[in-house]
Parts: sequence; C-alpha cells; structure tokens
Amino acid sequence: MDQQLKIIRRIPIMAFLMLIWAFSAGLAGGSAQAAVLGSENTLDKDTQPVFSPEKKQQLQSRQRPPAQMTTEGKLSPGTWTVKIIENRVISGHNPVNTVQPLYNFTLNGVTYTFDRTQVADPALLLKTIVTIQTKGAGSLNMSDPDTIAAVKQLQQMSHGTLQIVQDKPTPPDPPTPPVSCTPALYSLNGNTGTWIFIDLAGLPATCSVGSAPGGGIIIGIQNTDVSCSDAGMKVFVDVIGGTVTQGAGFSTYVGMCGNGIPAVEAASFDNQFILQTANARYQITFSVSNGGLQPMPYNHRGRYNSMSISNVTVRKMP
Amino acid sequence: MKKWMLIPVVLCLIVPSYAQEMRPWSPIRSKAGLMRQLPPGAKVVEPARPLAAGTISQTAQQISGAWNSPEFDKMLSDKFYDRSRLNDAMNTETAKDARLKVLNSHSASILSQAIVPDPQGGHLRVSNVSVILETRAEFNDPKNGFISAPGTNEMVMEVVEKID
Repeated sequence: MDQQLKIIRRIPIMAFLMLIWAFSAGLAGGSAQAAVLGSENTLDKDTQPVFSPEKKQQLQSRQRPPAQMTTEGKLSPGTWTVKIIENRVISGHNPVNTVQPLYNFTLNGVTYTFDRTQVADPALLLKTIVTIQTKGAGSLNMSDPDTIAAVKQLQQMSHGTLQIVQDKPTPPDPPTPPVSCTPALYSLNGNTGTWIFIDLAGLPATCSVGSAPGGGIIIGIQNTDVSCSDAGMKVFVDVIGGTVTQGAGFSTYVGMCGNGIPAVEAASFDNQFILQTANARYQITFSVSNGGLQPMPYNHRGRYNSMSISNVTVRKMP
Repeated sequence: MKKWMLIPVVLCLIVPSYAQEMRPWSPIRSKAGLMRQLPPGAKVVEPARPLAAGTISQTAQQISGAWNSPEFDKMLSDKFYDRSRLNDAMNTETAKDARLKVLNSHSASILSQAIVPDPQGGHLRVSNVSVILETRAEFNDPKNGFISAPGTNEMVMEVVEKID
C-alpha cells in the first residue's frame, strides 16, 4: 500500500518534468524551423520589390557579360562603326534593291515600259520588240497578224506589265546616209584595258584603238569594270560626252560605273543608242564580241582576253 | 522485271504531291566562307563574344536615318555587291521623300568574329552580324498617293570596334 502511494505521489512530479521537457523541446524545434524559413528569404507576390526604370536599367546592365576585354586590350566603348555587306529579302520591300524595276525605252517614237523584275528574259523581250519594229518598217503594223500575235506574246512575257504608249509614231526625218567605222580587234593584258574609241568629231566616224584620236571623243568601249554588274556577260560603253538614251539591244543599265564615267551596258550585236551632244544628235549602232574570260586572277571581275567592235554605224539625226 | 525495281515506282506514286513545290534557293552562310575573307594577321575569336548592348538597335536606327540620303553610301561596305548601282537606283528610282522605318529587329547572330590589325595602329575587333529587320518604306506617289511598303530583310553587317 505504501509502495502504491509513493508511485501516485511521483506522478505529478514526472508530469511536471515531462511538461518542462516538452516545452523546451518545442522551443528548440520552433527556433530551428524559424531559422530554416529565414534562410529561404522568399517573398510572396505582394512583397516583391518595385524598382524604378533607372534601377532596372542598372540591374540589367550588371547582368550583361563582361565582353569588353580582349587579349589585345580593352574595347573602346561607343566607338564602333558598321557597314552593310549583304542583304537578302525574306519578304516584301527591299530597302537596298539595286534593280531599277521600271524600264522605259523609246524606239522610233514608240515608248515601251515594263517592269523588268517581272520579265524572265528582258534581253529577249527587247530583241523581239526590235524584230516587230523591223517588220513594221519603223512602226507597229497592227494590221499584220504576225505582229499582233508577237505583241500578245510580248505582253505575256512581261506578265502584263508591258505598256505601249504610242503605236503610230510620227516618222522621223530622212536620215543622212550611214557611215561605217572600221572593225577593230584588240587584245587585253591582265588588268589593263585598252580602249576603243569612236570619234564623231567629223563624219564619217573613225575608230582608233589604244589612244584617243584628236578631236571630239565621244564614246569609248573598255573592258568591264569591277563595279558594273553582270561583269563577264556584257560589254560596257563609256560615254565621254553627251547624253545617252537607250536603244534596242542594250540591256537595262545606264549609270555610273566605278570610273565615274556614264556608261551603258551593251549586248552582243546591233546595239543602238541615241547620243545627244551639244551640237548634234547621233544614232549609233554597233556590235561587240569578246574573246573569252581571262585566266585567274583577272577573270573574277569578268575581264576578257580580247574585245572587238564591228559594224559601227553612226547616223546623224536631224 | 525484278520486284525490287518496283520500289522507286511505288515511291514516285506516293510522293508526287510533295514534289510539286520547289522551295526558293537561299544561300546558307557558313563560317568557313567568311573566314576565308579575313585579312592576313587576323585572329579568329572562337567562340564569338557578344557585342555591346544596344549596338544592333543603334545600327538599325542609323540605317533608317541614313536611307535615301547621301549618308547611306557611307554605310555600305566595299564588299556590297553592285554598290554603285544601288546608289544609282536610289537616286533615280526612290522617291525623294521616301523614308525607311525600322519596325522591329527579329534576331541577330554573330556569324564570325576576328581581331585584325588596325592599319592606323592597334587592333580592331571585326564581327560579321546577321540581323533580320522588319522595315517599312513610306513615300508619296504622284499617281497612287501614300505608299507604305513593308518588308522583312536579313542584313549581314560588319561591326568594327576599336581596341585600345
């Protein structure tokens, strides 16, 4: 009985000790949990810091990689230059388009306009037009079924962009008899292109190779220039004096080549253009050919072994 | 006729709907091709380091500002094909009041990067960067009125930075 009483008396003491132990353990556990929570340092959405734009810019600039040091030294900030090397159209408008899309030319009073970007072979189109003109004796003979069929074919070739402004031109004044220039052939050596000159100072015109003749030099044919397009396929004619109007046989380019002289781009034969000088107006027709591309390293610019000019006809226009 | 010879015939019968369309041919730019154009003494940076922040956007703004003005010629590299013809076309074909707006630059990637000796002393870091720009040309046409011509183009640019 005494033994049982002793045990009963010890119960409150043990309960008290257990309470103290449990309390202290709870404190220790709570503090440990609090320490873990504190180390995460998380903020919910409502407590996210709001930075000013200036502060954001500073923070973003800190995140950029420190790429401005090289093995050769430090890059100067803000001293860069930029050049456009190349452009490729993905869709739509091309801001650096070298093509002159609308092509106009007048032949015997008939003005043709078409969008060359829509024509698969502009040179063939031109030659077909010349054929029609020849058949129509200087004008479109619209009563001729073949001519009508050819015109329809032209319009089909130009994808509907060909417009003929005037189909019944007024006939030009009778021309003076044409004069012929002596055919010339010359060799080229490497990068040096000797010129062929056609002197129109007095008719009949004369040709000279290598050196300019005395008097008024009007046109010269040179080896292709690096800055002219289609090098290797076309011959460029530099026009030293006067203003050029494109004629049949020429391709599409009239502009400035690298030498700063106005140039026109010639096809192979029956090139024709109108040259307007201060005193006179000439219609010039000629054929050109080349002796094949030069070997490396000159051929990459489309330079030829030789060039020849023949059947030069100069007609002084009224 | 052997049975295996029928396989190509059967394949041809299956595939023709896909063969009707040809994708436009576009050159694939390669690092090897660009590296061949490096001047003597050049040292290739591999991997390429990023350009300073804002370089591309400032470049796009420069192009936009200089376009259709004599200043634009200065932004064309000597390597730009038909550079003189572009100037001619811009002088003769582009309307005088035409302006170019850069709407967006989609993506930019460094095709190659090299450190080359500077003829004036020191070194230059030359980076070839390809960037896709979304642009819009605006001008007034005498016949058709206001014209807005949007376009997306991939421009390859040469960024030259001076190293002190």
